[in-house]
Amino acid sequence: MITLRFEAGTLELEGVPGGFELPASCRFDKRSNSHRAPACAYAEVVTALHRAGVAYQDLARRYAELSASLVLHREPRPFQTEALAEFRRAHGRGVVVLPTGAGKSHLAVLAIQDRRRSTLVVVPTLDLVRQWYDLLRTSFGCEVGIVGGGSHELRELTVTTYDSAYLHMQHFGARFGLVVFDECHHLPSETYQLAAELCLAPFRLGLSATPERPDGRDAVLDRLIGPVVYRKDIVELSGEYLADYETVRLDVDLTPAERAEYAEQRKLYTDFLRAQGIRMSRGSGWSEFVQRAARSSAGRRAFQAYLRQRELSLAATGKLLALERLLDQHQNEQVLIFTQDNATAYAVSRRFLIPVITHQTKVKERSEILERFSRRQYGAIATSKVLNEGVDVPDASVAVVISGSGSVREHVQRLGRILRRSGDKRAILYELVSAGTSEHFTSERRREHVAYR
Amino acid sequence: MLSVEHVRAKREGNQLLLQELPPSKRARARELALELSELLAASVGDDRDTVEARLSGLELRPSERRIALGLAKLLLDEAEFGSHSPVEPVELRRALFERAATARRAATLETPFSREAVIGEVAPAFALEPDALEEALYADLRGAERLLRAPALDPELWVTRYEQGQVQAVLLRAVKVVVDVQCAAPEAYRSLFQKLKFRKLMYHSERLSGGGYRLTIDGPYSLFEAVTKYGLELSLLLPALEACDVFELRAEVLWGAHRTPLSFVHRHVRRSRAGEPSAVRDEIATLCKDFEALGSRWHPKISEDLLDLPGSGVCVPDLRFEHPDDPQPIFFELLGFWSREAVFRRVEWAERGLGKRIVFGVSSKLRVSESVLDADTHAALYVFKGKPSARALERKLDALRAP
Repeated sequence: MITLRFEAGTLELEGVPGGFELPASCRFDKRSNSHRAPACAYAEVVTALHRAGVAYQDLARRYAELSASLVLHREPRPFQTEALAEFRRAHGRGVVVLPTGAGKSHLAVLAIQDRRRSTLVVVPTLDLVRQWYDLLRTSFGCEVGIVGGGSHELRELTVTTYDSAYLHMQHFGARFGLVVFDECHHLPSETYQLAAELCLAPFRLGLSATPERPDGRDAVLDRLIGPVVYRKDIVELSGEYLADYETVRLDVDLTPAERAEYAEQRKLYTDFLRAQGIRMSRGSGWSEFVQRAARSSAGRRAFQAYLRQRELSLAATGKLLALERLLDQHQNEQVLIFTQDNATAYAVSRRFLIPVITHQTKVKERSEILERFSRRQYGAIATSKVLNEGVDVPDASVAVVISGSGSVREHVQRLGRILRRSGDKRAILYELVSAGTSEHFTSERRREHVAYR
Repeated sequence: MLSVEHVRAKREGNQLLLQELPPSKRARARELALELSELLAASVGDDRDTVEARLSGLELRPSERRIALGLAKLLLDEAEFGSHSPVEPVELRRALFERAATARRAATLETPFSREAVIGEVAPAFALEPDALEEALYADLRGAERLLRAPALDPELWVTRYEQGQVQAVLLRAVKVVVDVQCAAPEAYRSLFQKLKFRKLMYHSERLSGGGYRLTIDGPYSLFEAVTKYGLELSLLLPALEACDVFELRAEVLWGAHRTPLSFVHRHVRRSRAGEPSAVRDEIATLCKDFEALGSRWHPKISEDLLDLPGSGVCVPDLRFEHPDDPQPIFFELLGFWSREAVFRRVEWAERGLGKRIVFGVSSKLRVSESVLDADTHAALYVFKGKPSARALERKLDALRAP
């Protein structure tokens, strides 16, 4: 009889009779004198054994039927019902693309109830761990496990981060029948994708507002999770299911001193690029610059100049003055302030006396800040990137992007933070851009999305 | 621990070579280590951001950067930092930001929001002056931690650690390691295989004609894809390899930003230190002496063999008994007071077939009967009270040799 075992993120098959044709994912492993497949091939292997009528002992599967049931029933929106039907039709494997604020998490709750298997939810940040923990606990009325941020408690419903999933999936990858990859555009990175490979779960749900990646690796989602089974864009749901919104770009002038310094530093940097024949428009331009800059003192000066001119455009004095005006203007609204780097986020916090959330903020304090923000004890939060994704701040109606990258996904996600519908809220996103600097091009790049047209 | 960016390496074809420090560069490295150590010693009491900025401000030639960064990393790892704040920063922030939020909501054109006024209101509640409040506000951030103790001023030590640390750093990018290893005593092998198991690494072993073994080491998933997931485990295996007498390691690494596949070779010969305890356990040395005194026809030798059972484990015998009338040796592994689980694991191996005859010596304190092993397994249990007896073991060996 064939015995299936889960071994450190792989499926070990012992006692395979000679002549029996295993799926292509299985290979003979002379290290263990057995056959082996990535754990994600479990469903395929079991199906093949069933079809061939071969007897097997399954010691691999360690997940169980879910003992908890939904205790909090919320009427699904029509598009959530449609998405769940498509997920079912795809045999419980697929990616659902919905804009931020449309209720992807609720869809996942419906999918968990539908599949009724112990479930692991994988999320990008600790803030999302906290948020999913609350959601699952309330929805199913049971204790929920957490792996990450100093906790390591496994339960039939468990939430973890991509980092922890990559590190620990080889240990607990057999304990879940359904895995939900929230913000699943993170999964295709070289390291994180192993979290999906080393997991045995036959049912897989991916959630994202922006699954496409600039490196094109989103193509592997099909293999790691399943195909895109359902999709709706922001403009299709805006007004009815999402808050109405507007986006405003504010050009901010550098002070004369900043302008002079910006020009000087930028010249130093661009002169170096020209002298070295480096073209930043080429894909390899940036790494070429970094490498050559490290080889000479002129290069290191050019690199410092690059950093300084960037700092001047991202955190110009004028932006902080503009922010002051916006905070006054929206003094009775809940405001999120986004920056590109931690230093600016802390500078904003110190100057305007508002709390900040960065990767350095401990989980307990993050939770407290978000809770006080939702109770309106705080009127604003500054953050660099950790609130970009997923974190639910339903009361926020104003976002101010002081600085950011050229990433369309980041910009759409930031907009998404303020779109959750709440009463007759009208959301507004301000983007502060230093006039006459390279930041203009960055801004143009990140606005290339239907949400900004 | 060093990381990849601290490694001084060059490519030659598809080889990754560590650049040895010639005497002049080594002397310069010691100077750098001394300068960095002195900077740290002079920075006690300063915050981490300041200390790190000070270390990175050292005037360096491009060729010195990696070694200086590596030395700084090793020194900072060894230094002791701690936070220092007269008040609890989280509580201070909570009070300050809540007061500020209320003040901003209440602000009017006539009485606009005033940062100074808010700080002035909150500072007395924490018995702080406004300047001290500003300093305490984020005193719990990593960058604000104070240097409490600087590491030792011993440049030679730091340069040596840097040189040794580079091999481990290269292995962080390894997808597979092939190592030819030789140990005169079984203990080092045993420790190596325990580490392999502990680190959940997998291996394939082959005996080398010139003595020793070739181990091909990677992780379970490596069968399907060359991944650096096991790089840290491979890197942490290095001390166990260094405890062996001789090894040559060939690693396949994915190097640089483009993760170029390269080969890396590292050779190591263990230098025995004066006063180092013998690698052979006392009980085994005594047993050998007792056998010689017995005048037995069995001749014990310290075993250098591994009895590998892929998928189950590896048995590392202590002794190899040779008999003039028998071309095949019989092995002996002394389990002594190890766990019952270890005994039953060996019973299972013997039942699966270790391919060699072997006696397992087990203390009677483990309460295992000799009869748990069938005669047809080519293995026997020898249960002893106190210490193993040469005479009793000889009888076991004779019984196993009997047709």
